[in-house]
Amino acid sequence: MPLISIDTVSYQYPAANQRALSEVSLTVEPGEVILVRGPSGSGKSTLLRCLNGLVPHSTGGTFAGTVTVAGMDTRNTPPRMLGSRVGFVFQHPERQFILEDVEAELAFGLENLGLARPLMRKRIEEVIDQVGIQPLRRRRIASLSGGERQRVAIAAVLAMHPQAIALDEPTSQLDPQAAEDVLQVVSRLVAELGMTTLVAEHRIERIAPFLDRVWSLQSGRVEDAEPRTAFQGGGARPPVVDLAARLGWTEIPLGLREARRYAPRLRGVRPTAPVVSTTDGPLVARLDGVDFSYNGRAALRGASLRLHAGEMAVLMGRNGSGKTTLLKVIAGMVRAQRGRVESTRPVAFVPQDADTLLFASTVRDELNTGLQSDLPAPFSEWSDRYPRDLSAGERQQVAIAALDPGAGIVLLDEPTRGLDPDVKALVALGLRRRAAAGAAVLVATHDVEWAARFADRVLLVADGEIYAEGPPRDVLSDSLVFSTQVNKLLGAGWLLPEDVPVTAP
Amino acid sequence: MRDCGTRSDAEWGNSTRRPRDGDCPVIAERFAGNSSCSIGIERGVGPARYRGERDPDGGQTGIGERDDSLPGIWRERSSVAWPGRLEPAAEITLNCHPLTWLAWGSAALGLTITSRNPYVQVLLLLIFINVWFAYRRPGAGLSLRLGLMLATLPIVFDLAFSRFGTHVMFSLPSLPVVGGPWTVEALVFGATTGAALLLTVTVFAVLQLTVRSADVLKLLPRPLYRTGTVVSLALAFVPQAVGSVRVIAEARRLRGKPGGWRRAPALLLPLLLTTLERALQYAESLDARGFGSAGRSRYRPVSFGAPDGMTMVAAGIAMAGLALSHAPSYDPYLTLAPAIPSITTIASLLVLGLPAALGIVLPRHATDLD
Repeated sequence: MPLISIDTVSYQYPAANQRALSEVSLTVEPGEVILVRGPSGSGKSTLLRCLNGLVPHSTGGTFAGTVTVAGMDTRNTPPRMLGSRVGFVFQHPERQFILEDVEAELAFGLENLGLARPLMRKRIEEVIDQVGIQPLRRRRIASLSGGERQRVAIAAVLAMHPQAIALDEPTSQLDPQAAEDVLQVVSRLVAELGMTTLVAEHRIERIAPFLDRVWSLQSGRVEDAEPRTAFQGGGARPPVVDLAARLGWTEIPLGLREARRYAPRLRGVRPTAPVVSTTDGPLVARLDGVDFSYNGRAALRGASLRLHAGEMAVLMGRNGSGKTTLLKVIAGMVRAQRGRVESTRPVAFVPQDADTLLFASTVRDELNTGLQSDLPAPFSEWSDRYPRDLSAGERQQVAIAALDPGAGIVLLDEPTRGLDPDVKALVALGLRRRAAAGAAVLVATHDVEWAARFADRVLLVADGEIYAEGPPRDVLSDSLVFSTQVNKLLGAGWLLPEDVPVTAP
Repeated sequence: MRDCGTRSDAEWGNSTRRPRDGDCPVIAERFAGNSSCSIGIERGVGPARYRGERDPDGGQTGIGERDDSLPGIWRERSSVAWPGRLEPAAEITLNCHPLTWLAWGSAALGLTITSRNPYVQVLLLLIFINVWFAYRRPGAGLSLRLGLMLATLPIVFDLAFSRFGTHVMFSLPSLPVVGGPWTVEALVFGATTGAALLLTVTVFAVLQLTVRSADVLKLLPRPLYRTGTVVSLALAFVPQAVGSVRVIAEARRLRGKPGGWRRAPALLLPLLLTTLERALQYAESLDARGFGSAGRSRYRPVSFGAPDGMTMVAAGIAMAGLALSHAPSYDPYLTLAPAIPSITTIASLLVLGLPAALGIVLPRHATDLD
């Protein structure tokens, strides 16, 4: 008997003019691991929220059909009763905590269940070990990083011994390292506890190997399929699947290990397309031997950098390597303590949380254009919407478009965080447009696949210094850390599935 | 109360260090004249332990900003301030009984309100500051700073607008409002009013350090618990809203929009919406975590130990002593020279300092579960 069954569920948000979910019928067997994927706004969150009754109890709107969780009909059971059946981890790490410290937070759900104290203690100790948050147990929530918070959030719902756990884009607000930590916890739950898991997630390559099913959403409709079939059908999928599709492999690999069986056939073949130089434009910014330290701790040590008009450069490096500081120095937000910083054009800067740049009441106001006809697509469609109501990807695009058109140097900090692949491409398109118009674009990112696809030049930063730079194919190839999935598979020079000739053996 | 606050010797040594001029000249310059500057500096000099703690995860405090294992504080000030990062990292090892502190706070406030005598005020201030020091956390200095700012206001106002008193310092020609004799009495009256404000703020600053709202909630009888939680969540929005205002204002600046309070209306809508978004998310979180689904048990009830008892008694003695000994009243407009308080009064004030001694002397242990 399925643990969760969703039977012809349709749902429409109040004041919405179309359904968020449309006649969805699905089942979840105990122990299954399900990926919920689809573009932003396709209804992933809505679907997951149906499982613990937040839809429709907390959201209102029009709900039809039935969702049964462990024998309980969500229409008649309030979300607070379902909370212990389906644990829910929200997208925003900072907005789901009730109390001030970690242990109290872990206990909160158990207190609500009315458990006896010795049992609570036991559950909390167990969950601390399962999720590996022993060092965090006495910390204040406010002092935790995003990744730590998400692990605590997982632990907090896990302590309630739910029958299933639903994670709504748990890593979309995190940097890759933190995301990796969180996904590692998720995979451990799956592997060791056999936890029934439903996860909406853009970092598919990390979890693809242990998926049982994939639910693909498209404007409220859901297609339920085996991972291989689902990935074959398109949509967001791991790069190795793209490669397999491109080369017509009979078996669709879900991870690198499976793909390696086919990979040797490509050894010895090297990419032929020439590397284009993009540093021909006039020099617009120059950093020479820049030092900067925060409170006695060096963030930049003799960093030197050149930016040219018309290029799109990407800055990569691990957490704490000095990427953001470098951007801030160029932007003039902090001043170099030693060395020279020169720029010949006005600078615009988009920080990580682009939301904070949006403060007008409509997209049109945000873009400072009086007439609707002035707006290029896709902004013309959104012109009267409130910017903060847009999806994360849409907001990012508006923030980029809203930058001062006169800015000759455009700096962005992690603009693709939490975006689905299509939207990432749109963001890149917006930046390309800027570069084509003569701006120098510099993006700090952890997103290797995105950098490989869209950057003209890649700069690697470590320990406050730029230690490698050049075209993506030179810099990102054969790197242990900064290499794409295809590069890990095929080695020298190959970065992206589309680079590989279809005729490859 | 046995281990209110988390401290270490290293922390003491470090927390008093001010950034050297060379530490971050740009920021100092950029924020010169901005009141948030001092806040940042206070947080910027977190103790070594506090910085070390965050190293394992790349020095992050919030998801907002991930770069760079730098002490988070400077980052916050250098560009965009992120909400949720107003608190420095600190482990929670508080184990104070909230009732104890509520009693202490009542006594302290009672004394503050009943006597304007400068001797009493100075004594109280010394006592409160000592207690505050015994339990202080990195970054806790903000409220005292605020108190100091508040305290200067009545001095200025009284001095400029009050024309009473016989000890004239100087006279201004007959200008509107400020013209006429400026008196020592007005100055002193303003100073005592300011001191009362400062004392009140200090008492609340101590309570802020020693009492957790969650613990007070736990004292409420069950029927009130849900209401209490809602109220405490509502209160939690205040610091978050402050954080949001900073973020929004900073963002305007990044986009080249004018800042300053003239533009406050433009900040209001985003602020309101951000706050509402948070409120909805909290409501969902509460629901998803089964809030109010069953009878409620308590994981870690707050225990009442000997130090709690001693502090309670001290608070009682202070109140009683003051009631019996009649703290000298003071009105500079009547008699400029204040009366010297009696030994009983002084003694009854001094016992209020007991928590400072207990906070320092008693061995710290993490929690009652250990």
